[in-house]
Amino acid sequence: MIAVVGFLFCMVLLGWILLGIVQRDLSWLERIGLSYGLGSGVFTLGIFLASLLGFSITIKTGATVYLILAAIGLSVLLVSRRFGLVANGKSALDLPLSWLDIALIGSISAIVTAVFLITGFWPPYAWDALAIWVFKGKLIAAQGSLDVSYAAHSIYPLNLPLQMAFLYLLGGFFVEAVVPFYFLSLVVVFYCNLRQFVNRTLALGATLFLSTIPYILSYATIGMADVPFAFHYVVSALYLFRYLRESRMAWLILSAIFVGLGSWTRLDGSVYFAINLLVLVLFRRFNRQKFFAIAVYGLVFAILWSVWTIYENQGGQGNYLFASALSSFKELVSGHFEPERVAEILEYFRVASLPPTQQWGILWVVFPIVLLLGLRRIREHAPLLVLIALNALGWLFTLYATDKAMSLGWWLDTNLERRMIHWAPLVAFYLGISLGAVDFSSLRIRFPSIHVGPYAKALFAILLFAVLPVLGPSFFWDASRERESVYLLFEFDQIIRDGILYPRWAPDLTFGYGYPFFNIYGPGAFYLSEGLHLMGFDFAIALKSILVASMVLSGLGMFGFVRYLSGSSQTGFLAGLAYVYVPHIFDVYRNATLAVPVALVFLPLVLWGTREIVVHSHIKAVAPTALSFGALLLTHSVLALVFAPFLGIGLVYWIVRRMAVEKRAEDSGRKSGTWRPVRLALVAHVLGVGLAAIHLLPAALEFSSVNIAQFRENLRDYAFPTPDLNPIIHWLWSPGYDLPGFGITVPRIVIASVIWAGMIFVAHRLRMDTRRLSPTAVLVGFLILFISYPALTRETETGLDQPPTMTGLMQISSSASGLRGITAWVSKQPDWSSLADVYVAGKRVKSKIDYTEHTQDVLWVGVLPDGLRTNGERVAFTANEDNVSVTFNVFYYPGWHAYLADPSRDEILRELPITPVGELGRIQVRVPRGQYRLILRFEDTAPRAVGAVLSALSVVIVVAIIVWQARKGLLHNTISPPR
Amino acid sequence: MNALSKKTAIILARLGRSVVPLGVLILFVAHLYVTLPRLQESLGWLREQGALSYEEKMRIKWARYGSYFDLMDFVQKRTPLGAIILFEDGPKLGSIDFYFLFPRRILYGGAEVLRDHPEVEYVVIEGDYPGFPVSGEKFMMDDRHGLLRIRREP
Repeated sequence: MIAVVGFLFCMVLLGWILLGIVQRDLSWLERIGLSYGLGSGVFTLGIFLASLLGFSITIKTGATVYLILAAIGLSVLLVSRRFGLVANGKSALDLPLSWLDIALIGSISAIVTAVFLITGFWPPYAWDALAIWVFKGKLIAAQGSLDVSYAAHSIYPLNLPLQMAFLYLLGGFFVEAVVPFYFLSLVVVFYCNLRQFVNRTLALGATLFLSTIPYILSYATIGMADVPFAFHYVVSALYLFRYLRESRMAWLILSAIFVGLGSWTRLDGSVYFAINLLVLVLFRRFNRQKFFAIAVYGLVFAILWSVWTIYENQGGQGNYLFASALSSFKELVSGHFEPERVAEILEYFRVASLPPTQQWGILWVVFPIVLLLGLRRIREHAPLLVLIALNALGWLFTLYATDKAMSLGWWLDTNLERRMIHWAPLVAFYLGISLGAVDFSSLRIRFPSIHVGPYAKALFAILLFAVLPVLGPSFFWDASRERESVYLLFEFDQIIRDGILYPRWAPDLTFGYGYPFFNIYGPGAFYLSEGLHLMGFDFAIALKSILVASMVLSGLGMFGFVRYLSGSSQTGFLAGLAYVYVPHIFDVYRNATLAVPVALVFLPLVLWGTREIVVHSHIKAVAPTALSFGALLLTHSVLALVFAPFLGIGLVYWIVRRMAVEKRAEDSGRKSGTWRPVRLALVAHVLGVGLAAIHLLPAALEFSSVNIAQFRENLRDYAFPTPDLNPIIHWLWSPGYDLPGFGITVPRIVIASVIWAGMIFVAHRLRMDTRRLSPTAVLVGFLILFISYPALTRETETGLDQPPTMTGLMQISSSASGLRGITAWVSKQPDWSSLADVYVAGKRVKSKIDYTEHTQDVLWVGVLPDGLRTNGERVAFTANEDNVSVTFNVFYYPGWHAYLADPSRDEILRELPITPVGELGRIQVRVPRGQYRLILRFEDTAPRAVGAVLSALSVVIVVAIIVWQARKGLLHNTISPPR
Repeated sequence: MNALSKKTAIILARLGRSVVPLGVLILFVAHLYVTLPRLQESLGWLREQGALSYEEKMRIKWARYGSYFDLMDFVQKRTPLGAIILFEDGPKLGSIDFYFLFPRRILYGGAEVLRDHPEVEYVVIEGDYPGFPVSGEKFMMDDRHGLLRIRREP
């Protein structure tokens, strides 16, 4: 152990001396961070040259080389009178530290310690470590020469093996220690550089973020060269970035040295040098200084790179990786591009790396968000972003250009993520500087500035109890609702993945006959859940996350609105509490679909925005109000309908109040502006309706095309509830009567809404004191919690046993009414189908055509590759008679069209009329004699097309309003800073 | 702008400034929530299995290659450093064989290789290999793997 520590210390000391030549003005921490990489790299190069000169690689040679290098370093320092053994830069830690900073430093230290412990615990075991890096170290130490022909990939450079060789020579204990030491160095240099741009807390937070990325952590413990190379490359890129900002030559030289040492660590270092060089050329002004900088950069790199490259070429082995890349590049420029290869790589990345539950944590998910946040400083950060972009392209090309003798799948399994380690820390660095630029860098200052008071915090805490039932493995809803929602999301996902961005027709519902579920139901909640699912969460977790977020946000939204309305935090607290807990009492959440809790988020926001517009003529409230109203309509249009009277009452009340104020103003001789806020409110609501028009228009105009009788059945249930001792109490506490057409217990929502309104009114009248906790508030709050307690503690249903599948969808459709809706042309509700048989047998349905109708002599139908999609089907057929009927196991609904097409391609010849047939209202077309293709497609009707256009126009207008307001600085500058 | 609307404006401004750091904090916590259990799992080995020997650790890590590590370990312990060993044709895991057995020399092949290389001292038994007659002393690791120390006729 002492030998290992001694070796590492000697390397740091050598690097420390040599850094004094290049740059003395570094903080001690930054200098330590750089020292190991520089010292060990120069030392191993020295050993390599000594070996070429005929010296055997032994401890004695090592000591001699070390002393010579140290002596040269010290001599240069003495001669140049830059005796830089003392770091002159400012401290990167800026003592004293806050408690938060101490905690962050403690966490980072704990992780680095853990990396050393894990590395030390396991012997070298990873394939690359054994076959290449550690084995080469073992061979060099055993033979005293550079002959590593027994090891794999003898063309790989020897920086790492030579370090390991000396650890073998020093006893062979913990030879992999060099890799975690590089990890430590990477963490330190990352922090020190980031500290130049952002405050200490944020720099430490970002460093902790980097050091906890599982993939980097894992590779820091297994003795492979990726983390050491990442250290070299990231250091070179960061100092290049600093050079481009500060134009200090020392940063450029440091960058060149480290990218050069990178090429002495892994074979592909020259690719990364080319990326850096391109950025240097792009971001320096075209003058003599630029040429000088490029010359220096190239020269320093060339010196370090050439040593190994010449040796390797003399050995006659050639760089086969380079040859493969060159060959692919030639193919690319000659037009032989293989898009499917790129698609496969990106798909692998999407599945294996993108989800936050995978090995990169949230890095890739957060990157685009932070990119948006950092747009204002994009020019300032451009070199770093271009470095990231070029590295991403280089990464893609390297994988694209891999040797085709091995399958691409193998390369992706073994190389895709590993190659990202080399530059991914730059992404974490960008996250740090971007967040710093958003100007909330001082967490200590900003977080108290949320200052929503103790009531908001108390409300948040109490709301968490409301969502507790959801957090367990069980589901919150009753069994049928749970399955319905999960399977509807499953179906939504299938359609989105098929490339249909606005789903309307759900092809697998009702045992595969299909149902226009998303045409008549608002898809808002499904989009949110699908977003989470595409990020990697499974269906159930995605749904639960949206449900939890909705409940908490709706409580906080109501708190904000009522506090604003009444000026009292206590009133807001009670209103927020009631808003989330009263639906519990009425079992709304449990009986409703996911759309209800999501829609409840927007009600207070719409009221808030409307009042703001009417009472205060705030034009900046127009866009948020329109967005909230649009979101409400897109999520649950029926709830919006129920809510409309309340909104109308509020609107009339505020207008009347405003008119009274204006009247007084007119009486006193001032100009009246009564109608302006009314017009603004109208604009906001019309825009909201416009945003949701893509859903509202078809839902309203085509609702009659689904079977209304199925809803009447349930309405009858509701009208005559089961008699009990007390029908009202029974109705309040019973599981409820659904309206599957609406997916909500509408009357309960109405009652709950009246209670909310009443509570708000009473609280408003009471004018509760915000300064202290009033007994009334405590009492009412307690009462709300007390009466909702039985509902909260009701036993929850068991969660899904397994992820949703087509088989599962078919099986539960029998019991879940929401999954077996029928259209207006269906007179008999099916209990099963032949398609369901195929799904349940675990097979794939390739066509929905009813093959039992004709023998093959009359009609032969052949399926085409990818012929069956979620929005239709393509088949080839040969009809030996004229006017032969072809029946699809698909319910008819407006929007279905059938076409006759050319037999060899999909060129449409003419449209074929569709007839709904039988009690199932299945689609039937009649085809002519001959050989053709038949295309069945679900297309947009006039209401759908008009709705989509209106929504697109509304989006453009809302975005224009937001941009216009932002330009005027209304969003930022006209608000007085909080006292 | 009256007092209430000014208050609203301030609340909105504060909310805007708070949403981003709050979001960052939530994402950061989510990141740690996902990543730290993996680290904890790795550290769990140290806590619970701290006394494992080198062989036991390697057996855990190389479990997916079946008895490969055990065979290498067996051969390494039963042969001298300079031994020349014959394996079934084709390296099984590339240079890994060399890593475990270095500085012993390894040859791959069948009866012909054995005939052409009289210096071979050991033949590794793996299943049906060697399917050709080799006279010598047999050491078995299990019923399928073992080692033959060749006894050559003077």
